[in-house]
Amino acid sequence: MESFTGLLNGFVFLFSPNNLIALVAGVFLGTVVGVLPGLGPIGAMAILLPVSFQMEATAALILMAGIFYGAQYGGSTTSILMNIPGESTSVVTTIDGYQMTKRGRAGAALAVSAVGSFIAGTIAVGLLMLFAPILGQFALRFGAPEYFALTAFGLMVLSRLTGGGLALAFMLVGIGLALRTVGQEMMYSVSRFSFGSIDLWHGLELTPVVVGLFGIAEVLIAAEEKESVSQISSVRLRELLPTRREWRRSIGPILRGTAVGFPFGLIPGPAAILSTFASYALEKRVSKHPEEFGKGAIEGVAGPESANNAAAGGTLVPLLSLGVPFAPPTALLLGAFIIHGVQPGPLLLREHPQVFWGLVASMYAGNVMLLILNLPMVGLFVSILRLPRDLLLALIVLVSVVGVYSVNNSVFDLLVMLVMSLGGYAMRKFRLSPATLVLPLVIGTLMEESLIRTLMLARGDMSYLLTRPIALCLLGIGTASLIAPLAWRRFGQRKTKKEQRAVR
Amino acid sequence: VTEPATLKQVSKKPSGRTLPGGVSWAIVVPLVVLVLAVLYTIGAVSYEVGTLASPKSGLFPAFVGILLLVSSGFRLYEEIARPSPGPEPLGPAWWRVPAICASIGVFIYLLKPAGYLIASTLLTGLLIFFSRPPAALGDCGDRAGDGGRVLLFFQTSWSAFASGTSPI
Repeated sequence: MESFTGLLNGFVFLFSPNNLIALVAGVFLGTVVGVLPGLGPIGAMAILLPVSFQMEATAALILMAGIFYGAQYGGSTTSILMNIPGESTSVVTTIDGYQMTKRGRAGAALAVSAVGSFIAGTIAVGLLMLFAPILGQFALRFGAPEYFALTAFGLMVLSRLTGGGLALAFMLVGIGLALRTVGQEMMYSVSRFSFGSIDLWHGLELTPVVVGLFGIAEVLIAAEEKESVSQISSVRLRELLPTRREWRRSIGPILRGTAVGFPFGLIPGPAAILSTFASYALEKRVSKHPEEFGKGAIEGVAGPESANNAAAGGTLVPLLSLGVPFAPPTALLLGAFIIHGVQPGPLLLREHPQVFWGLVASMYAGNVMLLILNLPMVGLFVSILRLPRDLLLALIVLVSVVGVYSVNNSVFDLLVMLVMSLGGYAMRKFRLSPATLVLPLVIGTLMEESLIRTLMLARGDMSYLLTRPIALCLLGIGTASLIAPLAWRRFGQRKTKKEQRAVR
Repeated sequence: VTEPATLKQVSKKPSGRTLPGGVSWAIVVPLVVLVLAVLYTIGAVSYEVGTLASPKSGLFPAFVGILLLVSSGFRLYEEIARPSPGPEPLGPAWWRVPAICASIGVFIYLLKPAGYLIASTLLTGLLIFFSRPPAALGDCGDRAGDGGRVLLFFQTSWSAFASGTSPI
């Protein structure tokens, strides 16, 4: 009942002009970046972070969240029509989606994908509404040791996203934490690593770092590639209606995709991508016509597209209830929350109920808007691909540069952005994940404060952490997430060796 | 699940270029971080560290310094023992990267003395020019038109979208 009242209040709050404009802009831009291959939701969120500064916190977060889940919808369009995944989460959709286009069923694939995304997205928001407050209530028991364990857990979990070894992951985490220590610290008001500079004394702002690492760096990577001309299929509105048989074949995969996707969102890592592969594999297994997969089976579109939307909803649960992101886009969303003075986590519902319920209500409304946007306006989104990419990149750079400057009217911020752009570009070239650098920057201060408080509380005895069940549990899971893949790999290697010996 | 054809097309092989002595370019990253970690740790312990029971402002940076030293040292060892492939090769239009950065640099340099309007107009011009240099003199007109449209679109949408934030 409390949730229902909260949701109603959220809708009342949502229907203010500012919030509605933010919602429409967010889902529209999300769809656009989803359609454009190369520009992802992280880059778009980073670029628009400075723009959102002048907006009220809820409107800004509605805009950012709209981009995040809107991109999941848009990603399927190019996968189906051009065999080019607009987003990494739509890679699987290319397999059967493009085959359907070749058979003249592009409209049906797009419609099933949009409806599946809508159903999965809506169910996922319902589950988010259910789980986030429960987890949040539990997290109200947190003190300084638990917060330290939580931040350490977040870093351990996210460090697995780098794709490299543990040493590499910890190196990036260390760089992020080191950057966070620049400037005046809060406990003793000592200025560290500022070398007498007033700009450095204030510390590094998150906005120029994020815009540089994600926004401009993505542009630099895209700019060095030559523009390629692709064949774009067009779809008429009347072709969008799937047949009754296609609908019947899609309902099961949509529901199964939702059931697979949401729990994947609760797992740290590239959950949305994995959920699409899991859903595709499941559909192929349960299908009465597995031989059709790869040749244009509608189940191969409906399942994965539902799974990635449900996973997107799932990834918001740990962010809103614990304040810990389990995926790179939610790490950026956490940054947006903090920039706007809202700390997601156990106290979010108590301290900022309008933000939580406004966001949840906006996701319900956003899913409806995305359904409307993605069906009749699919032609418009496809035509975006005909825009000269060079002009688009120039515009993105312009928005980023002026956006960063307008936050504090600071030339120093622009210099930080430029340095971070080159850093982000180099990181991509060396196949390193910039997301691993951002999370420590975002939660570094909380980590330091909670560590110092814990040490004071325990009189320097770190084993005190092990006497606190929640902290022990969090550190245990975090350590297991670090060790498990190594142990699994060792086990796999041993098994392969045994098999090879048996063959000999 | 089979890999889609498009992924195969866009995937790039590592350059495989090596430094003299056959050492992979990937070694540069941990080496640079190790050097920076040494400097950072020296800086960290120059602040008052305190004790575990009575921590001071240098304690956390000291922990971070140790983390950086250990992780970069271990990574360096890994790179020497099992060299990983070098960085991704530069794209065919690699020169756009320094060109875009230089354009932003010019904007930063001119922002205070020349003012926002002139600096942003120049930035737009440079970005449009570097995005696709004119092959013939006749293209210059088209490019100027493109630049004008981008600038107009940007200035108007900026004012509409983030009213009051424009630094003009």
